[in-house]
Amino acid sequence: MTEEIERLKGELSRAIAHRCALQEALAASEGERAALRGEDRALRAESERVHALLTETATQAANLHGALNVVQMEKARLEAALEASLRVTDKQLAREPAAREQERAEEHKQAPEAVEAVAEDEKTAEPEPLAKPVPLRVLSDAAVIEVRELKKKFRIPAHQMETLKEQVLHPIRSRRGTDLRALRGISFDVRQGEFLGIAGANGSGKSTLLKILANVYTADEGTVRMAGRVAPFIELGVGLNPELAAFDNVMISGVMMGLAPDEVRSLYPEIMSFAGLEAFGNVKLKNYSSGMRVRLAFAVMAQVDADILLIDEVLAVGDAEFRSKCLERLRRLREEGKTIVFVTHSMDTMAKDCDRGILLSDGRIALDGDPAEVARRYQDEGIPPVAEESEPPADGTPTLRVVER
Amino acid sequence: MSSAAPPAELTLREITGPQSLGVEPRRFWNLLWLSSVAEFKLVYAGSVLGYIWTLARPLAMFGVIYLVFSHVLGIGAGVGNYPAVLLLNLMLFQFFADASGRAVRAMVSSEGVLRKMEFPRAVVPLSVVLTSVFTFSLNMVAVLAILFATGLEPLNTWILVPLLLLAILVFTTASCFALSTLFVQFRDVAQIWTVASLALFYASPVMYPAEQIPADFRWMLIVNPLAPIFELMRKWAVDPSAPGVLEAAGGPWGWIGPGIAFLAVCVFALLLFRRKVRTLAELL
Repeated sequence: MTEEIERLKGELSRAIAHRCALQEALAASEGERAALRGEDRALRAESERVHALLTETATQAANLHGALNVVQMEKARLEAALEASLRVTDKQLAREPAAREQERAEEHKQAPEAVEAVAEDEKTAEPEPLAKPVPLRVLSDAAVIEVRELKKKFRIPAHQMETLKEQVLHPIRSRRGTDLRALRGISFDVRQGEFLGIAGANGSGKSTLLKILANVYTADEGTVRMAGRVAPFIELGVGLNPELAAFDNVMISGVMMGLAPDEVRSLYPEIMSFAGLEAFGNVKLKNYSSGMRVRLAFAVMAQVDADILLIDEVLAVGDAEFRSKCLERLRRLREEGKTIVFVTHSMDTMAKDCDRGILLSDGRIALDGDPAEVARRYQDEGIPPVAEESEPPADGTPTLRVVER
Repeated sequence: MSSAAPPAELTLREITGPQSLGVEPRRFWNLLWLSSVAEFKLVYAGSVLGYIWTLARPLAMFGVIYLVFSHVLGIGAGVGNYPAVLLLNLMLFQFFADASGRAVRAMVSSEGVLRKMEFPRAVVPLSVVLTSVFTFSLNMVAVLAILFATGLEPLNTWILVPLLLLAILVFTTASCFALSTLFVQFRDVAQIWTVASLALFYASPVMYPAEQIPADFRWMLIVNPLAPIFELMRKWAVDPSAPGVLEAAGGPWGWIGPGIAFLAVCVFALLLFRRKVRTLAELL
């Protein structure tokens, strides 16, 4: 009996000990829970604060956007007014009917709406890093590019006459062939400081026009007159030699664009840092990736302090960061009073950045004037826009893009 | 930066397509110098041994030809200081062959630049020539050292030798202009030229003295614009007793024939280049 009592007592004390342990554990977990709750509260407060900050930033961004719009509207208005007054006084263009002038002025009045629409799109897309407000530039009325009745045709031979043997065996054959009329009489002026966008479907003559301006092709008829140093960026580059290192290439390209060797040498560090290739100065270009090559080419062109920049489809390649850097740089060059002729398929860029647009169609100018209107017409004509402004996938998988040559 | 004054005083000038020489001699020369030096560096690829190889090639050729002709065939037996004649003339021909051989593809391999940039087009063939001039000059230093070491006697006629160098420079330049331009349109020029320059080598009195050519083959001296250069190099630089141009060819045609051929090549090259220079970028 006493044994039984002892056993029960023992059991009881064990049970009590167990309970005590459980109670302790409970207390501990309760403490933990309280701590967690505190943490949760802190996090929630933090997130609310961040949220508030975000909304505040968004409102600020919207405000700045508004301010930018006002500035841009003002700019467009002033430009339209300036252009109108210029047109009136310009004797050279007296032959153009007055009705056309009216039309142009009206087009320009519509411009602010278009700008606003674009800005609205952006607001919903992402809070873009705001560029500093573009100061009003006063365009000089001096034409720096003057193109008159420009014509160019290419002879497409009916037979490939690639060898001397064929030429000797069939001397008459070479006379035959079809003509491809790339440009059928184009006239326009570009004034100093203008950012001219050229759009058009593949084969409409954009690249041919640019190559004639760059003095690489010879026009068949008509005249082209230009003023100042010209820096071309054609077919994705400035003509770099893959066998040579970046330094030699930069030197040669710089001298080709009219700089003295010493000037290029002093610009070299800037060029390499703009291209982000400081570490690759002694590497032969054949060991560069294609993106690196394009970056180097663009950097050379952008840094040689040319008066006129002829740019063909730079935005079709390179990563998103480089594209925005290019555009940023072009905007800055424009502020500095450089004249830019810019061939693009990106109607977004056309409407946003260009002062004036030219739409080429089948070797003729289909439209010359408001860039927003050019963008609209280009898209209305059923030409699929190239998705250049879209973000590439984050994982870096390559995407296919149409690159016009 | 933002308020930079627009560059003033920009005058419009007409754009008339690519030029051969351009209007700025300074820029032309800078460009020519930069591309030639870059190409020259490329040949030696930054190694000391690279230079030794370019010298080793003509020297090895000299060794082989000297052994075969002098000791096996006995051709050089009657020629005063045959090794010196052979070495000098080999260097001259090597210069011509090296430049013209590389010139064939020069335009096509500069396609990237030609299609994108405006620059005086003559820079392309001329930089090939200038690169070969660098090689030739470096090689001549070594060759002259060898010749003096083996007992070459100075002659009064050495002052005339620059004329020969000038003549071969002009002819090489003309060939480079013609070949590089032709190759753009006719791709079999490369094959033809490999054979033609070899034929020219054996038809020229480089390895053998002109007076040993059989009478039936004297016409080779009359149609070959390079023949008098090699003959006179031998006479003026090494061996005054060697026959002159007239004696070697057996009459006034020894001068007239090569003169006409020489001028014909130069004029053809000039006209061809002038005609094609504007459309080179389109033809590529």
